[in-house]
Amino acid sequence: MPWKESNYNIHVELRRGRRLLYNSLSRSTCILEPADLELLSRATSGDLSDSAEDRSGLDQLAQQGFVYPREVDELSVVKNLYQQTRFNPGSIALTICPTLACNFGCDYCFQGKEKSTELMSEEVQDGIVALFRRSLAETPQVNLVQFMWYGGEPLLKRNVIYALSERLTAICHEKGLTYTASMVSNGHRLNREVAERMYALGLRQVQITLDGPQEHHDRRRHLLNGKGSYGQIVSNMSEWIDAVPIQVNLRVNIDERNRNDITRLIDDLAERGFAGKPNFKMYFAPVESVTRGCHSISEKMLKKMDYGRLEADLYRYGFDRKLSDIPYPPHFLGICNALRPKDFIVVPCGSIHKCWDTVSFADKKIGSVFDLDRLFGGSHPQQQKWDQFDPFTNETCRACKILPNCASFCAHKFIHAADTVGEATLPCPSLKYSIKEKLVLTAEKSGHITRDDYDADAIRTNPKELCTEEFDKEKYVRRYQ
Amino acid sequence: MQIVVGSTIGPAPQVVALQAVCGAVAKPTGACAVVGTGAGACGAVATGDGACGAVAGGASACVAVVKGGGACGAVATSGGVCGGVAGGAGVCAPVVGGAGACGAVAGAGGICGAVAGGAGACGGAISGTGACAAAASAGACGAAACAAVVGVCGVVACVAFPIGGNW
Repeated sequence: MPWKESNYNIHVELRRGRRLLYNSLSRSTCILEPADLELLSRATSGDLSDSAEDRSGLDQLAQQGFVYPREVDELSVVKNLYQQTRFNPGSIALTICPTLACNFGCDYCFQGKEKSTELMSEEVQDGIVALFRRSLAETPQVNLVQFMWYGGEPLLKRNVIYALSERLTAICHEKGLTYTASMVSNGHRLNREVAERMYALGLRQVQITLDGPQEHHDRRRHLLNGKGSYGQIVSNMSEWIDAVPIQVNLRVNIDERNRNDITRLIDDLAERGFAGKPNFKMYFAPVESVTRGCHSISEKMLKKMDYGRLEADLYRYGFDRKLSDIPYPPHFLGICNALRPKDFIVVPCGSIHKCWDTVSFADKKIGSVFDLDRLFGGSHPQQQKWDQFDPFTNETCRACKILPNCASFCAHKFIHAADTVGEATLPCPSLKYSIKEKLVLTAEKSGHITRDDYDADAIRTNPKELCTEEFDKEKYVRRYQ
Repeated sequence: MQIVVGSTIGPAPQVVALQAVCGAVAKPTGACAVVGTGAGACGAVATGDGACGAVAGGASACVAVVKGGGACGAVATSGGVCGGVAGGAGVCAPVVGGAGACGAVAGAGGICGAVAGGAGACGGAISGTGACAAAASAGACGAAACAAVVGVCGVVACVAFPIGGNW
């Protein structure tokens, strides 16, 4: 049978003629010896013998997805897997913003500086309960429900969270479902008492952000009165991290201003005893001017290449100090709640959104808890933009070697392309600028290679080897205006 | 070839045009791959050191077994049941694309990976000294190691926080 090398193979040169080979579709990574590479070459040129050795080698390459029969259309395989994941009817997610107000005044906030202080009325809370019941009725295959508390700062309105948690939990029990929730919080009010109460009400994960060592964090993520917040957040987490099994995903937003000092944050957290805690992990993200609420910081954004390389270095540093996981490339980063047809976000006035980036912008709502027939009919033009978004129609993405990892990464940057500026315009993820470094990190930290096995310059990711940098923003502005 | 992380989607498929029940057996050291494109049952067994892969395209049961030291992969692309067993020091990776149950077992020092792409249950176990990873993108996940998007992975379920915005 004629074989071809997978379109999704990514080669990383090691010393002594060896190579790290990763496939973004199978997500396999292997170390190929020179003899394996010679076999790969012969397999794809049709020069294999009938020997048991060749057959065995080919079997291994095929098993890991590095070679395919020539007649197989790999793009169809990716698309099939993508659609099964995106349209899987077994789970739904409901994100609730008890308030859009916030006690912080971060200059880069994508929700803008003037935030709504509207309260969530009893009628809207009733509407959320009705929305959840309708969602379950519309998707009877559901066996997993994900609730997320979001804002603004959700803990400013704890009474709403407490009341809705109990009502939604009761429905889950009635339907034989397990209630669990996640939350995005700035952490300032998440002390032990609140953490214990939230855990009792089903909270299992929380994202909290620290933007570097104290002087950076307090300059960027201060209270509305200008007072710093680092000490209170760290003190809060220290109070309960060993006592309450809520998973903390600590996010670090990075731009030109704090890029050089993130390692000091990692050191500080290690010194404070967070290293190795099973329920504490750090991850990193670039600050981006992704909505019209944060155009003012567009000059502060890091270039994608600079951020990608920095991120890979930080994961290495964080892993060595037992504060972050190895960032092994996942499947389909781009499948978020916005693209899953029955996942919704409700804001205090009762409006429904698809994307977390749009909740402060009323013109981007897709419906209301007070008109569920229209919502589930899917007729709102804003809703149809999300439902019809297809990463496989973009030529750059179709030809990209990390399409199975990325899946166009962020649909918001296509659908609301008019709102992005500068480095935030290109939808590509940091993975495109750091995948080789992350693969080497995986192999090294799992003990398969050592630092002596590679040259740091030779394993640098060249994004142009993966796909082009072409993104016609104006085309998407016209399409979705 | 040294496997650092095993495939999570099974082997490159060889399509066999069978609509209902699909089974294949390979002799020692041979390769065995079967695909059931309909909703039938699909099973494949390699009795020797060969590679064995099975794919059921519909909502059926899919089982692949390698008794020797080969590679074993099974994929049920819909809401089926999927189990893969490598009896020796092989590599074993089953995947359920939909909401089914997914289990993988590597009997000795092999590598074992299991993924339930949807809201299914996912369990991976290894009795020897090899690596074991299981991930459920939304469902229940039980294994020695669990990896998910943006480092968010719980013992009970893996839920990825959205990546955009400046939270």
